[in-house]
Amino acid sequence: MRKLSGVERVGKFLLYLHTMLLLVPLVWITITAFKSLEDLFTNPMGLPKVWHFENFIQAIRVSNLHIYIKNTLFVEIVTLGCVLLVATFVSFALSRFNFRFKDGLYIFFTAGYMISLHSVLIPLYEIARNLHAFDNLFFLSLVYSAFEIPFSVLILTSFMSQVPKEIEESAIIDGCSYWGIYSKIVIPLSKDGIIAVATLVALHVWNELLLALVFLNKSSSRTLPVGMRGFFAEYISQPTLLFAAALTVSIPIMIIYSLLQERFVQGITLGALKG
Amino acid sequence: MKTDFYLKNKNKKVSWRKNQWKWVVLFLIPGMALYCSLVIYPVIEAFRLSLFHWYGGEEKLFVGLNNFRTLFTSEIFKSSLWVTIKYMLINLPLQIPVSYVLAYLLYKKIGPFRFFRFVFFLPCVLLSVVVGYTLNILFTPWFGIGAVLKGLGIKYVNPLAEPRLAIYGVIFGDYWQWLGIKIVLFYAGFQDLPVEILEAATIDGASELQKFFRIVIPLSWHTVTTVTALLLMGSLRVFDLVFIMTGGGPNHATETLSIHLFNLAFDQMDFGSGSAVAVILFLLSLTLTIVLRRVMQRFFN
Repeated sequence: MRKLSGVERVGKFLLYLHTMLLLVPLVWITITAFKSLEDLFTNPMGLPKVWHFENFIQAIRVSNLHIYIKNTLFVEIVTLGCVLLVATFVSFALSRFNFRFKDGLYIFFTAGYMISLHSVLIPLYEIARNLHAFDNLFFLSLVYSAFEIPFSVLILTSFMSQVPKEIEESAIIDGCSYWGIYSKIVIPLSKDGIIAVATLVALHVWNELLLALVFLNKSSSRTLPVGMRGFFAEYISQPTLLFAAALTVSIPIMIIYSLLQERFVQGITLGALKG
Repeated sequence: MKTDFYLKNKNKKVSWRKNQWKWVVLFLIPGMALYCSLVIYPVIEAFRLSLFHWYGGEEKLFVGLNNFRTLFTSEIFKSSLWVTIKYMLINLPLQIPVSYVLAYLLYKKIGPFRFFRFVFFLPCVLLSVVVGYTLNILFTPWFGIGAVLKGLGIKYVNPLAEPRLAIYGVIFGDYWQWLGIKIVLFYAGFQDLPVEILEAATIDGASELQKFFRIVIPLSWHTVTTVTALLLMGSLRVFDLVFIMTGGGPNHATETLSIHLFNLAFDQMDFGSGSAVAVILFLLSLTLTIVLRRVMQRFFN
């Protein structure tokens, strides 16, 4: 093996240092999740004396975790379905047709990129109150979808405009309708963009706290971030239970991430560098 | 006969165009409806509400710019503006250089770089609520860091409970969870570096450090501006981690604009002042976007 130079050795040290910084808390919550409370107090950093697997069962039971997971899944599915349908429609119209106001509409749809949920929190609260839409997960999903439109349109139009015009023209000659061009040509050919958008939208929804906090009051309608927050706030004196719940929630997403790492990275990169 | 054919064709052409219009409208309508009713209208409504006294009841009283006047005399608002700026100003020189160097080391494929890349992005897929509370508990004097230091006989203060230190505690949370995104972005940017130039420099006897400072940094400058823009926008709007880790405390020491907005609206039910903060937040991010875009364009040209 080639001998490492001084600079490279420092580099390697930095990489390991940052890795430790990230992994130590993760390992710590994993260990703590299996401890009894007394064990944690007497021996905060070491391995558990007895591995308490029942922590997990108790955590799920008292936290209603299954309800939050179910709600989050519902919101994810509705939001993804809604955004992908609506944003591909808009992007298709903006990238494959020629009409007046096209550029104006493109700017209109993508300018929303600058608007964050905070700025419109109160008006959204007002709308939800007028529509009696609190605790309504479908309405929450619609709001999420609306906010994902700008960046989805940004990415999807750039993918869709790369589909060669010739394919479309020959399809028209063959008697293909616009719907056919949309569903049979443009959608399959911009698959990578759609997957990137879907990954990012899913990640946003998964971690969205602010709006869910304002919209969801009943315990039965909470999504994971709000539900977990309520649970953590209530059981803050029992970290072993908290970490058991935290681990139960985090392990599936970590597995998904390890399987789809490239997709996650690609989605993030596209989302940021295009904007 | 000839005119007949012409007319027929002309009509056909017109009807095809009309047909196309119908399709365009059809494809645009759902997105337009959703976007206008839940994004555009609320922005306008936020501006309107900022001109009213509204405490959640039926009655809204028009007061002009009074809410803004009250805000700019409020100590908490001024402090929240300053906390937000401080948050941005500390995050920038911390996260950009660190993520840049780490991404470059990944690009150089030092050590098990696939493993490093996996771990670096891992915190970004966790729930902020989980990250926030975990770090909170880790910072307490009873378990975690406090317990270890106490074992070593070192005096420990929980930074999150200390007004002067709390913001650094929260920024550590931000660093811990979100540095990975910046690393990934820089890493993607480095893939476009011209390999020939780097190789030519190696042949000419340039050291690793010389290559890094003289070639890599100037050539990736546009990625730096993009990631900086992203970081500043994110810091301006930061909410989740602050809300979980300190809730804006102790004594408003970490109360950012977004936390202040949330407290005004949903704690004190002062929706008018809350909307005024929302408007200020909106105008700030608009200004920031325009300025950053200018700066970036200058670099690209």
